[in-house]
Amino acid sequence: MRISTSLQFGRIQKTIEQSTSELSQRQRRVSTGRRVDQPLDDPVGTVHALAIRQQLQQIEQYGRNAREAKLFLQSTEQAFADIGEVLNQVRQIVTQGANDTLQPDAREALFQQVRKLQERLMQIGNQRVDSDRYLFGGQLVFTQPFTLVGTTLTYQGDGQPMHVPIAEHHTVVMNFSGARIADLYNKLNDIATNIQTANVADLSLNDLNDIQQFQSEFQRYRGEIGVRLREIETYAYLHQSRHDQLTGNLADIEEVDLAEAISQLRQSELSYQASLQVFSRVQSVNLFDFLRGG
Amino acid sequence: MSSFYGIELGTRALRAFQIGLEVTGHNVANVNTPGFSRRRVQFANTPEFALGSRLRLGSGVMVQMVERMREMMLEGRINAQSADFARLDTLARSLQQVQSAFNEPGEFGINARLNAFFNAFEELATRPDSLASRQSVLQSASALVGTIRSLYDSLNTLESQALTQAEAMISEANEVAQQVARLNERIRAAQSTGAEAGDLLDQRDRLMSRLSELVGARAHYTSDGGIMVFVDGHTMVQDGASFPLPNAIDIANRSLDNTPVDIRIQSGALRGLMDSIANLQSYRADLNTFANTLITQVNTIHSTGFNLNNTTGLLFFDGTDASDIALHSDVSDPANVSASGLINTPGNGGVALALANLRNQPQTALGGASLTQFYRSLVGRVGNDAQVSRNRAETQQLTVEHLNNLRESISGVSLDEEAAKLVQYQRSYQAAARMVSSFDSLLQDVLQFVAPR
Repeated sequence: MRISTSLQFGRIQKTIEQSTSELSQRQRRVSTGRRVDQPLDDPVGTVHALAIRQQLQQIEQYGRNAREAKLFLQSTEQAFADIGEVLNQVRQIVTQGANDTLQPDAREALFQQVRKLQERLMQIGNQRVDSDRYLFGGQLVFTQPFTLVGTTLTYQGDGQPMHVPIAEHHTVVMNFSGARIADLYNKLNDIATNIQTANVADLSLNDLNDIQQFQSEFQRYRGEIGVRLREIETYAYLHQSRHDQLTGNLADIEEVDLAEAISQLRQSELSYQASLQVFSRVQSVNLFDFLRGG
Repeated sequence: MSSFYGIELGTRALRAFQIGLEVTGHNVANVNTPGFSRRRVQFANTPEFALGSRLRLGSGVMVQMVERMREMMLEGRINAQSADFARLDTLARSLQQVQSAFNEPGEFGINARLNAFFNAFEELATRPDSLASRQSVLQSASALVGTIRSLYDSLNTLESQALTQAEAMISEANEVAQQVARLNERIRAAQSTGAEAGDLLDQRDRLMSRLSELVGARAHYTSDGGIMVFVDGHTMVQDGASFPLPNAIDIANRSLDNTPVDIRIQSGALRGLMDSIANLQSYRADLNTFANTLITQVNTIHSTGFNLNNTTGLLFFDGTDASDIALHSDVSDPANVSASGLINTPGNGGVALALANLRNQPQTALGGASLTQFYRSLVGRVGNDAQVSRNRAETQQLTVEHLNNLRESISGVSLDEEAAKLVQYQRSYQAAARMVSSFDSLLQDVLQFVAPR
């Protein structure tokens, strides 16, 4: 084939252009560490990367939700533990009160203790998380759940569950209704009266029995909280490993294998140098150079 | 036979070789001129001279023609392939800009913003009573709205740029067609006097390839040395007259509105621009569908909810599509973001959760895809279109290069070759000059003999 001068130079120029562009592309890859910078680089990979990024964002949000639910549940558990403490004391008082031989001033002392415990109970029931939301109001988080009407404690909350999404299509209920706390309070009213009136029969039979029932009920609630917290932990663990896996997948798509990228960069540098050398060789050879001047 | 026969013969040779030298000089001078076809001098011996009945004497050399080394068949193929390359390359460059306008994959694209928006609602579902969560809902929503609108604006700008470019191309093509028509005239005039029209032909060929590149025009060579230029069924140039392309661009039909028949543009950069505008319009339509679905769905759910002051029926987004999506004035106060599904129940996050769940909810308006899926597949489509068009342009470039190399091998100037010719003609010139001086000295001998000093 006949090679014209501009073809000869054009080819070398093109080679140099190609290696320059390849070189700069590979330099960019090594310096940014990114393989897919724009959809054009790998359309299928990009779509996949976007889906992964979405899942990662979602998982991170589930993590924040779970922390919120955990905090709420832990506060609730502390409240139930406190109620458990109250119940233990009530049980002792009931046992002591179910005694015919008790002196009136001793009875009065027990009576006062029950009143104190009732106050404590109301205080526990009206607790707030982060001095913000009431623990036991249900969804009526800004309404003080317990108020006294006369000596009767009435529950103002709606007892409705607050669902927190902690995984796809999965929520955990982070609160408990406070209705039973009011029942307990009002039961203590009966007990107080029975202590005052020395109704030993009721105290030793019904009241003791009721208190035991309340004890096992609140114990059950605490067990339930444990179950929910474990569930949250399980999801947190699953999410963590899923997060790691997805981050790895994302890196596989978006990021360069540095060792490979660097060796490719070296290759590009070499071929760039080679093309420059070819140019300098070619441009020095020309028949005109060999003709005598003049 | 005259006494000066030899000198005349030598002078003819000198003149012929001088032409040879000049043509070589012209070739060397145009070594870098694009579209230049090298010239080759064709020498021929002049008619013989009869000397008596048996003897015939040669009378020397003449330049028969200065041949323009060009393969017309190849020209047509190159123009057609270059027009196709111009189409693909224009499309590829435009789509490259389009896909980079999406800012994906990354933190500043719609994907990330959209998910942050749904996350904010999910957070609000966990803290339905919180003002801070509402503020972060509004922040993420305003970032999302901003990103959607800025993408919309980018697509719009790209489209109007492409349209302006297309119009500029049409007027350039019309201008070039006029020049081709004028050259037709001059070439015919030159050729009718038997003059060499080589440079005019080169110029016309260059203009013709520009026309092909611009609008995919095809040339038809007439027997009198003129060319006719066609775009689809429209004659752009005939003899000395040019007929401009109309400026009315019909993107959907990839044509120019014209009476009686529209002109379909099938190739050239203009077609590339039309394709890219059509793509831009379809991406924008998808973006609008996406924005519209987002607005409608969010508003439908949000308006069922109750804000912190127990008002219901509040809207979240304003606008109808990606061009005018905005936060609704209903939610200018964060307290108005409605999270609760029940009146007087600030701890109910039912509506916030329903809004968060929109993330993966299939939408009939989106052909059963969720908002996030729909957007992802739009990005995939844009990226794929850009990649495919780039690959096609690259492949086509190889074809064009191959043909150009073929043309270069026929028409291109080789300095080595010209250097050799230069030496050849120079030596021939010297020999002819030597011949003239020999005849001269013969004559001198004769004259000395006749007229002694």
